[in-house]
Amino acid sequence: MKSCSEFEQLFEGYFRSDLSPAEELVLLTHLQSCVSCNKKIEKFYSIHSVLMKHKRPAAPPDRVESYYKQVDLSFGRETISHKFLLFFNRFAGKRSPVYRIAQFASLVLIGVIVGWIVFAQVEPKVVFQNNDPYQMSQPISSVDIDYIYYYLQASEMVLLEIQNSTDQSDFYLNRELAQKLLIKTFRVSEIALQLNNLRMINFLNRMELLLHEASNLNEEEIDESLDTIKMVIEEADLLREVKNLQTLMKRTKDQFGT
Amino acid sequence: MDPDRQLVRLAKNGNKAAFGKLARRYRDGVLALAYDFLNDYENAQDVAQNVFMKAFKNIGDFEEKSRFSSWLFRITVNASLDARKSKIRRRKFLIKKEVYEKNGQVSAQPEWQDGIDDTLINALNKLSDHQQTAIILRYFHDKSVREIADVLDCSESTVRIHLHRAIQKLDKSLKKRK
Ligand SMILES: [Zn+2]
Repeated sequence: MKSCSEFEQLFEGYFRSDLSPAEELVLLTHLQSCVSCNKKIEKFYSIHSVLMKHKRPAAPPDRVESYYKQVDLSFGRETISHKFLLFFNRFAGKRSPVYRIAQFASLVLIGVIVGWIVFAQVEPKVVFQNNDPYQMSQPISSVDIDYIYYYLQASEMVLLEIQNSTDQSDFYLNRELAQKLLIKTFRVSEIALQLNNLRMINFLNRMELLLHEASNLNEEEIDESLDTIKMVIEEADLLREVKNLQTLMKRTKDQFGT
Repeated sequence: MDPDRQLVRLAKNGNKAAFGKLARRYRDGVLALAYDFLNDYENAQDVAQNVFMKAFKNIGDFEEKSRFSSWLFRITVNASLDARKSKIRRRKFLIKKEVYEKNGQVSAQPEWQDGIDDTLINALNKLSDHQQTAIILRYFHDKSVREIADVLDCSESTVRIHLHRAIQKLDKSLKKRK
């Protein structure tokens, strides 16, 4: 025979219609004779219904948009060739002759279609090439410029923060700052690419590597990884570069009148 | 059977686009789950983005003993709990934070929203990590006890105990407020 506490663990399943018919029958029979479980199931139900009614506030649309964009940016949008790959994969592993033929036929089909896609779409892309990599090309909008500017300031702060960190107590702050900045790096890289600013892109590539390293710091090897990261900052002279870029950005910002 | 198996296999072979499809399938769920722990969409977004990067990096470690979604949700739960811990730790660095903001914080929104006036949320935050995870997945994400067991890496009966204890605790702390 089950004890009362064992019956209590069936309450949740009971309200979810998740119990087997046998379990339900045993529970209902017990409830007919047990006053204490009757009281408990009433209490249980009141909390259960509060939880069922709970609704989380919707995410702000602009946040959802930027989030979707970031995920797309990290893994790429779905492509036609990818769809074909999935279709083709469905036949993988099946060995019957019919599947073999289907496999072969789909391969030919993919070949033809992919060929068409590739050759029909290859058009020389005209990219505005900036001759002087140290000069900013025309910015996209003042908001983008501001974003880069703030990013550079935040970078400087994070780099300093990492360089001055000495013990475990700085560990969480550093990791967290690095994670936050890493995400912003993707957006800035996008703008830098549009600006075709090679110097900035170069800097951002280094930042991305470094921040990735710092985001994944773990407690056991903290001393070692921090030393490596500090060395990278020093060797690439990132602090000076971030200062220089700030000055350049400031000039562009002033030209833009923001 | 796991509906994501095929995409997971492709992703394991380094196919970024296949993982992208998985990411699009679960991005809403992951964001919502992170929000349920953090009660703040800015932090939830950061966590969710990191979850997908981490998941792609470590997909080779996914042994396919559970559904992909359970594995992904486990990463999300751990990352959210980590973020919450460092959020508490961060309060100790308020001075540093001010410097950071003066130096040009990109977002104009407050970074951490404190004191959310929601009795249920406060009561939920008093539960143990496992109890809270069980409640959030069961009630706010409609996951089965089996799936929750996979996320928490424990047995189904343990999940039932977590759920039951959690509801008892919620009853107590909600009553105190009245
Ligand atoms: Zn009883």
